[in-house]
Amino acid sequence: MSSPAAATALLSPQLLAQLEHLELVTRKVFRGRMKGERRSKRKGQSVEFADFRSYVPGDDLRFVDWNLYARLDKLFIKLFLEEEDLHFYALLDGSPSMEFGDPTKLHFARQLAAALGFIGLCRADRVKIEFLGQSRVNPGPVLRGRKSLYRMLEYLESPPPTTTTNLAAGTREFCLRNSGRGILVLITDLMDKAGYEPALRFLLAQQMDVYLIHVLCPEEMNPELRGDLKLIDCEDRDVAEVTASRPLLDRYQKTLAAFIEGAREYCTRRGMTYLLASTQTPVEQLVANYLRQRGLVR
Amino acid sequence: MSDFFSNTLSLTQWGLLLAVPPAILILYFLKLKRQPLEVPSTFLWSRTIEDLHVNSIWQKLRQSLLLFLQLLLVALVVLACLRPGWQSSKLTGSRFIFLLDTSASMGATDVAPSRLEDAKRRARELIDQMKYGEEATIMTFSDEARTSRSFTDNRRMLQSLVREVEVTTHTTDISDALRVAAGQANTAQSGDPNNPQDQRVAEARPTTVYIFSDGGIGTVEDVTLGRLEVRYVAIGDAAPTNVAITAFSVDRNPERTDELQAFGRIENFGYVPGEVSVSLYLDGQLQDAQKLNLEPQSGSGVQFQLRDVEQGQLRLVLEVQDNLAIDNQAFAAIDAPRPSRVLMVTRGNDSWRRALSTDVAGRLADVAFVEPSYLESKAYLDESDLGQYDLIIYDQCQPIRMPQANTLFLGDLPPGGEWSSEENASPPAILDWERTHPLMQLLELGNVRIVEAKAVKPPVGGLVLMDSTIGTLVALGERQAFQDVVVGFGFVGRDPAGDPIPNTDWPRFFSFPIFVQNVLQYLGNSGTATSAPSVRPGSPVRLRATGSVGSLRIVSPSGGETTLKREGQTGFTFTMTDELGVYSVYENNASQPASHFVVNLFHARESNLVPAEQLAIGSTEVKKETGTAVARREMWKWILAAALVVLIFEWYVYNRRVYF
Repeated sequence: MSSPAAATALLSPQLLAQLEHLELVTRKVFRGRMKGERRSKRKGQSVEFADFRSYVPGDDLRFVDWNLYARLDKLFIKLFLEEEDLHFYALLDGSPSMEFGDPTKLHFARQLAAALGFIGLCRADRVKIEFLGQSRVNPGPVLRGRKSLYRMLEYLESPPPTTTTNLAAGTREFCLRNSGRGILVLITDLMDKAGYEPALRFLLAQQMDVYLIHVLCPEEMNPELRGDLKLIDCEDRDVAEVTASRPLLDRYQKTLAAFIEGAREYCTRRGMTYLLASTQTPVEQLVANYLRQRGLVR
Repeated sequence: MSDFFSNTLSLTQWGLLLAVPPAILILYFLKLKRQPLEVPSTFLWSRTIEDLHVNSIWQKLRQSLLLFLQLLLVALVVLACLRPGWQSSKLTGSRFIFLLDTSASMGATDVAPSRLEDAKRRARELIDQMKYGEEATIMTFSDEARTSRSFTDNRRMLQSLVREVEVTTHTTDISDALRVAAGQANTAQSGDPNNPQDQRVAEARPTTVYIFSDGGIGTVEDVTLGRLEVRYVAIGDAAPTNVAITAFSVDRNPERTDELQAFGRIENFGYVPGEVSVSLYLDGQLQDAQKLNLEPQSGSGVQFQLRDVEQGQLRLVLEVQDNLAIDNQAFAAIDAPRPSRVLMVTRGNDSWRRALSTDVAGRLADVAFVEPSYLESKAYLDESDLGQYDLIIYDQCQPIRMPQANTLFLGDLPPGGEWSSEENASPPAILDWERTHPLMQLLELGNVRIVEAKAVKPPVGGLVLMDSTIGTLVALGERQAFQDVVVGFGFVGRDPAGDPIPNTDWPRFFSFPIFVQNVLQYLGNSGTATSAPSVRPGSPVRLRATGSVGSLRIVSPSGGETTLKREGQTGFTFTMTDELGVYSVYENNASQPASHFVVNLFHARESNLVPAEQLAIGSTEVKKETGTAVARREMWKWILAAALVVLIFEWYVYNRRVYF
């Protein structure tokens, strides 16, 4: 069911209008399955002229440049750039840790995925959005065309799968099911005690154009803790006893900075694009400024 | 160690106080109910804590910083309750007299804010040291002793008594105070031994007297200390600076009678030479100024000439920054010369009549001549009883009763029988005369011849002014406020026919008119008429007025008024001379002052600020107590201040969790 309320909750009309002018860009050129709005390596039928070549028997006579034949008395075939579609995957981390923050990190991830997905839909790209740990029987929808906006939003509004799964397992599952090439945007907080490296390694193996959007809420970036506390992990109920103090908070900041720097370096070395996003950053700004700078949208 | 601490709490209070640290420890171990808080992930926190565990000892120390601060706070409070302090000499004995010097020199500022304030501070420190059951009293002394109240153990009252002590302008005399103090310590000396009504106010017990003084007391004689232990706390800097006026007087120039001369003596009591400027003001107007260079411990005189000044108030001011300001000013007053009134009762004495008619004599006195028969008239009796005359000269006659005036008897004796004489003898030869007495000064009498004379015998306390081969020829006797001079020979003798013949050739010599002038000046009080008398602060002033004056109004330099009523015939006595400066005396309701008198310090011992190293009391020498060590120095205020700082720091740490 398409619901305008969901559209407003995730994407405001102003944002939608802004996003219509953007398009997804990939640094790699992939072969699409269907004719789309995207130039491909292949020459073919479109309105964008590419080159001439000599006519060889068997060529479609519709592409012979008759004006040139009249001038030069030679047959040339006009070549046009073929336009193809692009596969866009958005992979969302739906783990309980994403439920923190105001707005929650999950909401932020949903907004971001919706925005990027809408850009793809507008450009007739193939858009697929999925939560990590989505069961094989009930995969996320494959969407194409602007009319699919509400389906996409409906899926995003639905609660994430409850099966607890770690980052690596979820990614692996996703990669097994989606072997196609394209742009993959992984939106996660990377808060996995097993580490994020195995997960990213699976994505690397797909030879996709991978974007890692690392979402953190202010409570994680600048925790305002007071007093003697028993910190409880919302996922595995692990306990850490701390006495909040300025040096402890300073040390946490250092640890966090080291963690972020580690992830960034890991991604950069492997040709992935890392982007740190605070839930406090408006999605419009993130898409229009940061993602444009990183080359994901144009 | 027992000196270092002084217990202030009872056993129960100590128990309660010492229970606090264990209570803090117990509370600390029981504490820490950690507040549960759900977070997205403990992933980063675990890593953070792991880092901190590397230096876990420091971590623990940091954790217990609050505990440490709390225990430190309690320790400081306990320490403050122990009242740590130190001293080199303790208060010994159980009864104390704190004797504070309030003389003028205690106003010196060589120790800030002043010597008296320093003395009061030290006295209060000693009072702080008094223990339960010890009692003390506060006494002050300048030129007189004052006891504030009987012995008390109320330290607060003693403190407030000390606070009320104020510096005076008086000179120093400790002997009265020491006698009173010794009386408190020794039974036999308490009170007046000759007076059976005199009751002792306190039981005599060994007593320690602390003298807070700069020591300018000279040697004290006639004081037996007995069981009185004396301790001397010297107040003042060892090298004070002070330049003082030690004398200032105004007199008429003997050579030029329209000119006044003002003499001042300036002394430098300090150890550094200095240039001072001396200014003379007449009625507030600067008249003249001089600069003086004064070597240390030396003095110099200044002299000013004043022309055409009939009356006024003079002020001599030293413009110098020194430790004692009170002696940088001196005052003098010039009263309009008032000719004295002299009555001469004579049958005819040409030599005296001529001598009293000269210009000089006319300026000094208005002289009236009467016959001896006038002595019996009512007019004379009224005049003499009311003191209308300054001097009455009885030439070979005597009144019925002595007048309220100075008298000079020539060849006869005062009535009343106090004076006596021998039979006439002749011829006497003058052997000697009292050359230093104002009456006899500048006289040369060696060649004076006298036909016949009788030796006179003055009353007890009289003064012989001229001696001869037959006995005393001239003598002076005191009578209440008056002086009587008797000359044992008349100037006019009688021959057998009863005609006057000279009895002496003295009128032919220069010494005679000088003697007459001396008589007018000394007995007629006309010599002092130009310069008003000067007294020391606190000294009584005797004021004389003619009999018609029933009351005197005296205006002090600051404008305070006192009215004196006549008491008997002896005149007036004014005692409130604490203030330095010129006092004006108004007769009855007069608007113009009849006369002036001035109060000046003029006391070298007060102006010499160098504190004495020791006091000589009778045969005892009391060395000064060393430095400031006489009093116990308490630390508890500082410790409490530190505890407060710790408390504030603990509060800050608790709120901010700032660990280092």
